[in-house]
Amino acid sequence: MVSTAASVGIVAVVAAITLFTRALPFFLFRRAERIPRFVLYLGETLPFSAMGMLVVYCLKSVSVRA
Amino acid sequence: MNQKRSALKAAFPVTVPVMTGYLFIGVAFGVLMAGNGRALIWTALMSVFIYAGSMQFVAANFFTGPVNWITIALVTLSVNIRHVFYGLSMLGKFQNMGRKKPYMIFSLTDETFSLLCSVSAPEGVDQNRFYFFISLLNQLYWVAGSVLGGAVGSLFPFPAKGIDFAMTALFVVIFTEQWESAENHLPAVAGVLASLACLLVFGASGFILPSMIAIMLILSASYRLPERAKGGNGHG
Repeated sequence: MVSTAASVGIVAVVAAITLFTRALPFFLFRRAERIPRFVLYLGETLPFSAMGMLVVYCLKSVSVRA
Repeated sequence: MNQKRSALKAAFPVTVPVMTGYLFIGVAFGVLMAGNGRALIWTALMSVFIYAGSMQFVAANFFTGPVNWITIALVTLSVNIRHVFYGLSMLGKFQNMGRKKPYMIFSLTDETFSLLCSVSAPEGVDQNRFYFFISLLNQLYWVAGSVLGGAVGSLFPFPAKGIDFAMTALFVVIFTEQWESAENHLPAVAGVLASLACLLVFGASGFILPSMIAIMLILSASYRLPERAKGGNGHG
């Protein structure tokens, strides 16, 4: 079992990187008027693809042979 | 005040499916942490500051040591990289969120993302507040579930395996609703097929990043097609 200091470090690192993955698009495209048309297009289409990916992600460990 | 209450009142029923899922999965996470011999405070800290379901289950193993920071960073990045998609999808929706925007970004989990892209505020209810309460309620359920699980799990052993299927069911329902509302089914089909193909090729532990790349390639290809048909940019 790791020390208290290391535990704080683990929570901090995992929290920081998780936040990074969530915030990255907002940093890259900070100003609304500068968002390229292609990115707007992705914003419209990705929710559908992402939800499909999420369904597969949840079912990934289901074995058909079970 | 009244505005806030009406937004909260409208947001609550929308979050009920996530509430069921988060309470159960949260309890499962708390039980796991307690089973590993971790004090309740760590369970609570993780659910408040990390707030990423599957990642927290993975991170529970980090505490058994030895600590390798590079591994922790890379595993976290690869488990959570799918969030980039959610952010790209929410650029427009969060644009005018003001002071609430940082919290909206922080709390953009799979489940919150799926609700935010499938619902809009009823007539007369402030849209931004409505979204904010959905995000906030969801995190409250998660924190409550995991703290409850941590407390109960330290008292008795608790079989919580398989309960996360509640969440899968929610995703399937939302996927179906999106399918019915969409004119163009290509993004949804691309999402499912690319992920399935990558799952078969790369296996369950490493298929997310290749899936994302494949989805981007398919969407990019379908972005160019109509442009060419219009004769706008030509072949470049």
